[in-house]
Formats: sequence, C-alpha cells, structure tokens
Amino acid sequence: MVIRTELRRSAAPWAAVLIVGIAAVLLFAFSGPWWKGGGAWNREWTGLARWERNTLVLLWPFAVGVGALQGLRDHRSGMAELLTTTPRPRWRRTAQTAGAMAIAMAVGYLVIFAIGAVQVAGNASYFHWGWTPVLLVGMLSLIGAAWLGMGIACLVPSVLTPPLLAVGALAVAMVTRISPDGGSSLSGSVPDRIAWLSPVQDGPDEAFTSVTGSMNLAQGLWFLAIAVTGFLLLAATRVATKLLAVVPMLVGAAVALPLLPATAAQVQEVDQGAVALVCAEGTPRVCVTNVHKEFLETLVQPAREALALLAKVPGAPTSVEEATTGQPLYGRRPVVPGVVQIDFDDFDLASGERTTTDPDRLRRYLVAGVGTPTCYGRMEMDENYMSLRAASAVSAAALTGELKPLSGSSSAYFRNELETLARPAWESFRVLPAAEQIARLSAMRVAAETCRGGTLEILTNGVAR
Amino acid sequence: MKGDEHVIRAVNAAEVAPTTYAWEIRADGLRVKAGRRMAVDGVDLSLGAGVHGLLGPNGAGKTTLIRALATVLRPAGGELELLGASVGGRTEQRRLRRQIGYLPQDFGFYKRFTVREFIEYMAWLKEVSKKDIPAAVQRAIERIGLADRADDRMKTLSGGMIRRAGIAQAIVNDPQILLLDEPTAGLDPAQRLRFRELLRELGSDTCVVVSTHLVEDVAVACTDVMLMGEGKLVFRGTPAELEAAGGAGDAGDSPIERGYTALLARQQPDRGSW
Amino acid sequence: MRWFVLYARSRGVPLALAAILLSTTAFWALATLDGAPDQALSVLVLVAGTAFAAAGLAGQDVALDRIAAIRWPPRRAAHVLAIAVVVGSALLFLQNWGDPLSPAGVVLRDTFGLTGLTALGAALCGGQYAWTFPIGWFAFSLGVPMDTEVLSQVAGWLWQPPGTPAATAAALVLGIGGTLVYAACGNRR
Repeated sequence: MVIRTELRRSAAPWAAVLIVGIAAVLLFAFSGPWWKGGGAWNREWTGLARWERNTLVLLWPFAVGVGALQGLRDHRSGMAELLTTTPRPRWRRTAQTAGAMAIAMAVGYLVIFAIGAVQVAGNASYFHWGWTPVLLVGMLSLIGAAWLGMGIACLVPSVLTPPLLAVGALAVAMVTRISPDGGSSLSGSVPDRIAWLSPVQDGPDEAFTSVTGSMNLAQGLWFLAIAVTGFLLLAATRVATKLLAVVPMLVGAAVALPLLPATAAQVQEVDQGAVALVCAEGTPRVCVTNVHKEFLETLVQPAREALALLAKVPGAPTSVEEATTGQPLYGRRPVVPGVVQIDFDDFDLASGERTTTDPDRLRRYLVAGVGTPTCYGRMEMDENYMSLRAASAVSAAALTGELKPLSGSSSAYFRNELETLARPAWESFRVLPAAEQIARLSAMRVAAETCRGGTLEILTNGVAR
Repeated sequence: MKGDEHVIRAVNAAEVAPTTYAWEIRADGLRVKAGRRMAVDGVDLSLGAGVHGLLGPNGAGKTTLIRALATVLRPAGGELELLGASVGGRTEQRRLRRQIGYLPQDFGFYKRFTVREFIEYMAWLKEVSKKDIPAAVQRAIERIGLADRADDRMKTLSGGMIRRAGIAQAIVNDPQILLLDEPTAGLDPAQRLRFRELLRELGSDTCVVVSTHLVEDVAVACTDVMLMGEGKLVFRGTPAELEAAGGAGDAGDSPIERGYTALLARQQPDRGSW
Repeated sequence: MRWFVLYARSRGVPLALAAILLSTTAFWALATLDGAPDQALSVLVLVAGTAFAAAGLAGQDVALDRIAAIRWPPRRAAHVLAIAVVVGSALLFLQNWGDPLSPAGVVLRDTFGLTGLTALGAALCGGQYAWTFPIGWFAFSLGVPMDTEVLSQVAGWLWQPPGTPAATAAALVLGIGGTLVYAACGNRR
C-alpha cells in the first residue's frame, strides 16, 4: 500500500518515463554505431542487450541525479521530526521509497529492452538466453546508481548535492566507458581493471561475441555492492552505521577486481552457439553461421553459381562459408584454404544497414578477387587500395562477363574507381584468349591471397611490376 | 458524531488490557536541553486522561517539553515515564511510540501526497495493523472535517487545512498520549469551535497535551492547565483556578488572561511588557 | 557592500563558489595530467560550474523576494552575469598554466550560453532544478554529429570550434534570452 503511494507520488514514475525517453532519443535520434552491422541493437539479442548498456553513459548519471533529488525529499519536506517519533524502523520506511525507485529503474530499463526486442524478434533467427546477464547487470547498475544518489543526498542534504553527483557521475561514465575491444578512454592512465568497473559498455559490431561470464559476475557483484552501500546510507540512523556503509562498496571492489578479466581480450568471448556453421543440403558446400541462418536460403543459389564460375580457375576455392569474426580494424582475417569467406557486414554487401539479397551482387562479391578476401582492415587504406579494388572488379567481370561496381553504393567515389581504373583494364582483358584469361586470373588469385600487390598489373600485363 | 455512526473500530487487546500505571505521563525533576540551553529545568508532572493545556510565553520551554514527551529529545536529567515505561529503552520505545500521537510545531509533509495517502502513510509508520488502516484513516479524516478534500494533494491545501491534516495524522493511531503543539494556529473561528469539541471528545479516554497561546481555547476545552515560565512549571490547576489567580489590577481582557499575566508576573517580576 | 554580502549569503553563494572553484580545478588537473586535453572535459567543466551556481538563482522565499521594494530585474541580470564571469574566468585563469583546455573564444561563448540556459531553467522550473538544463543539453549534445549542418551546429553549439556563426548565435540567443527571461520573471513560484 505504501509502496503503491510511493510509486505514484515519488520521483519514481517520471524517472522511469525519462529513462525510456533519454534512451529512445539516444538510440533513435542519432545514427551511431548501434545501427551498424550484425551487432546492431535491433538485429540480435546480444547486440540489443550490449548496446542498451551503452545508453548508460547518460542513464547512469541520470539515475544518480534523480536519486539525489528523491533523497532530498525528507529534508525539503521538513518531516524529519515527525518521522523520528514513529515506531516503524527507518529502514522499513526508506525501503519503500528505495523499492519504488528500484522498480522505476528496472521498468524503464526493461521497456527500452522491450522496444528493441520487438525489432529483434522480427530480425533474429538465433534465440538464446546468453544476453540476460548483460541486461541484468545493466539494470542492477541503474538501481545501484539511484540508491547511491538517494543515500548520499540523505547524508548531505544540500541543494548542491544533486548537481554535484550528476556531474561527477557523468564525468566518470564518460571517461570509463568500455569499448568492444576492452579498452577505455582511461587506458594508459588507469589500469584497465578499474575502468572495467564502469557500467557503460560500447556494443559489438558483429553478432559473434558475447561478454564473458567473469566480467558479468564481477560487475554484477560490484553494482550490488554499490546498491547495498546506497541503501545503508539511506537507512542508517546512527553516525557509526553511516560510516560503515562504505564497507560493502569497498568489499565489492575488492571482490570484483580480481574477478575481472586480466586482459582486454578476455572481456568478450566467441559465442559458440552463434558461430556454429549451418550448411545447405547438397554440394558444393555453402554454410552460414547459426546467428545468420535465416540468410542461408537466399545465399545458397548465388553461392553455388559463383562456385561454378570459380571452378574455371585452377586453385580457386570450392566452398562458401560465412566468416565467424568481424572484419578487423587493421589487417585481414585469416584465409581458409579452399573457402570463400562471406562477411554479411562487408560494405560491398551492406552499404546501409541491411545485407543485400540481390543474387547478382552476392555472386559478384563471391567471385571478386577470385574468391580471395581483401587485404585491408576497416581502418586501412593506402595507394594500392584502389588498384586492388579495381582488380577485384575486373576479375569479377571476367567470371560473370559484365563489369559492374562491387559496391551497392552509387557514390561518385566508387563510380570513379570503376571508370578510371577498372574500365580500361577490363577492355584490354576481355579481348585476350580464354586460356590467357584463366592463367592471369589464377596468377592474380595467388597474388591477392598473399597480399603481394600488383594484382591489377597481372590482369592487364600478365605480370606484376 | 457522524463518523462514529458507520465506522466501527476494532478494539485491540492492548486497549482492553487493564492499565498497570497510574498516570499516562509522569515526570519527576525532568530536565531537557534545547541545544545548549536547559529549556526544561526540573518539571514534575503527573497527567492522566483529559485535556491538559500548556500555556506560557515564547521561550518558556513548552515546545521542548512536548518534544521530550514525543520521544524526540532525550531527557538530560530527572525521570520521565510514559504509559508506565521509562523513556530511553530501545524496544520499549518502539512499543511506546505506537501509542503516541504528535503534531509538531513545524509540521512538515510530503507535498505530492494526497491527504488520504499522507495519513495512510503516517498510520503505516505508526504500525497500525494493515487491515485497520483504511478505516482508521477515514475516521481521522472525518473527525477533522477534511473528508471533502481527502483526495487532493497536500500542496493544494490552505494553512488551516494543513494544520487539520496534521491533527488527523496525530490521532490516526488512536493514541493513548496525544501531543499537539499549537494545533489551533491557522484555524478559522468555526474550525476552532469544532476542534475544541474534538479535544473534549478525545480527552475522555486519552491523555491530551495541548500547547497553545490562545488562552480562551484553554478555558473552554481543557480540563486542566499548566503554565510554564523559564523552563519551570509555574502553575497547575483547573481553568477556574487560573481565572481566580488574576485580579482586576492585572493586564488582560478576560479573567483567564488576567490570571495568566498575574501568575507570570509573580514568577518574573522584572519581565518587560513583551 | 553589506547588502551584497547578505544577499550572497542568503543565496548560498559561498558554498556554490567553493564548489565551482574546486570542480574547475579538479577537471583542469584531470585534463592536464591526462596529457592530451579531452574536449568533453573542457566543456563539462563549464557545465559543472553553471550547474553548481544554479541553486543560488532561487531565493529563500519567492513571495518575500517579490514584495521587496528594490528593483529586482537589474539585480537578477547582474546575478546571472556574475555567474558567467566567475565560471568563465575561473577556467581562463587556470588555463594560464599548462595546455589550454579550450580556446578563450569557446570558453566565453559556452559560459555565456550555459549561464543563460541555467537562468532560463530557474525561471521555468525553479533554482533547485535549474541545474538539469545545462547538464541536460550537454548530455544531449554528446550524441549530436559533428558535421556542418546548421541544425547540428546549433544543437551541438557547445562543441563547435570558435567562430562558428551558428554556434555563436545559439549561445547568444540562450545567453541573452535566458538572462532577460530570468530578469523579468525571476525564479519560478
């Protein structure tokens, strides 16, 4: 009954509304990395849970601030004297307010998840429960933030307490946010493990990884400890108890720090359920990861056509598999002999948010470079980059019989690449005898596979410079 | 009264059990500090059921005495027994507080709560059993005449209504000891008449201590008057005895006012006109 | 002078001033020790300063303030401008040592705009809640893309390089507008 009153009359209801509002503005109004690739927040369950953690960069300071405002209520209302004369213990009374606040935080956070879940349910074919710890830890961190804010405001009931706490929490959340490779903006100046105590995590850019159990466990314990400290501050009647309230937080940090992963690589792990390969019936072999199994039907026909085209070139791959790692920022992912790897997030396939289903583009992608992967990481580009792309386009044209841009993007940049480099090369290549064409494609394949460069020259002149 | 006609109150075991104490409130040489100052300095009291008016000039120690009775302040010396239990023990205190109703001088409240929610909240804090709360709240609201505003937010109430809501929260747990610090401040004349009637009603089975500056309230509603001056009890008697203490030469517009000034002047002959 | 001291005390200025100076120093030290100054911190320091000053825009009692015989509007405007001067000059002063967090032009623009925003917050929601305005806009602008669209430049005026006309205009509108609204209306009842 009292908790119902608190849910209606405390800061709880509008705190829940604002949490949903802030997160919705952040997620929908801005086009951030949460919209990109297979790890996007509306594509897969893990991506949703992890990108929701990213919204904590604003929600966490908000929870601290709103908790502090709520914590000032007893002071502002001047009810302190009347409340000291009531028989019910203080912790029972404050538990009602804290409970209402916790419900608001949990509901707000779950509503955001539900908004994402509606989209994910329509998109994802791989369902699992592995995302629940990420969601629960995020929720717990919000409850802890609100309780800590309430507790501190009770301890120091000054009008300056809420802004001080909110600014401090915002600064902490901004400098400690954890990026997907495990680093943070504090890397270097502060040990990684301390930065990993932050609730804010950037989401993944692919659908194959999840947060490790030890990370979730350590963070969960840490935020639980924060919540306990906040509640003790709120419920304490004596100075000694108030001083003792920091103990749970210290213990929490002491327990969590050794549990946290030792290296950045251990922050996330491969989700074995997601990367398990699902293969089409029949031959040649065409496989996608479990997480993208809904795409297999679209892929199998163009993939087999592409393999049939590739079969003309000696040494060319004989099967198609989805790559089980994202394209690295620098360098290339390992080459698997005899396999064309397809990356649905490659910008040649997914110029916007969605992977193309156009069979012609899929086929072209698979035969480009005679089935070899690019030599460049996502953040790399040098003077040979353009000629490699032109060579890929020409090799695709050689096998499909038609020169077309590799990328679905119609930007002037890519049209230019095609017209200035690929077109002349294609014109000189197409008039060669068929046996010479195959020989050059084979030589080009070997060069591209080993990243030796000069692929365009091999196609036009027969030899590298 | 209207409310009693249709609200039947459950009587709990503690109420029907025979009392083991002679006086609801008993103080012996009670000394209480307000900050550093000894605001109550050696007060002897023995109060039973009835309405006890507490009079005295500003700074006489009335509020400090009431706060000590409400278990807000711990006595600095002497002895204080409420409902037969000595004030100070932890477990005893919780049992004791269930039986106390208190309206502080500066009555604070949660502005966003409705009147009903606020009184419910206070009833819950006073550990009124869960099933009795709705009826107890309704009765308190009706007794104090706020039934038509029961579902309005506290912040929309006028000063007098807030005072009445304060009285309602004090009586919601049917206390054995009811402590009201200036309950009539802000009440309009009609409300004050109604309030006096309520006081008389409550005084039949409750020990009510009312601190006030309005001597006519005391004269009409109280069974017994205490006059405080400079931390000490100057006078204790019936309103009639207070009237009798004043003569024609004392300042005041009514017999009871003349009695009031006469008694205080006797204690502090050098005090100024304020 | 006496009036000034009493006014400052009634508005909780000493505590707010201490908070502003402490936070400015702390942010400046954090940014300086960290090596490359972080732009987010250089804006947040001004946001924090104005947020801490916000509570002082509310008096003890609105009714009591309103019935005072003195003319409030110029005094209220002076209070707002004083906040801008203190917050801005605290950072400009500290910047004499070590790498500057941000160019003086940005400090002036951001401080003025943020102070006006805070004053607007006090007029609309009361001094107790006015701090949410600068912090809210700052948090919101964290997500605004850094491009040359006028809309992004206005929404992200806190982050624009010095001399960006749209950002300067946004700061001036907020600064002057907020000061005028607060001067005219005072703290929310």
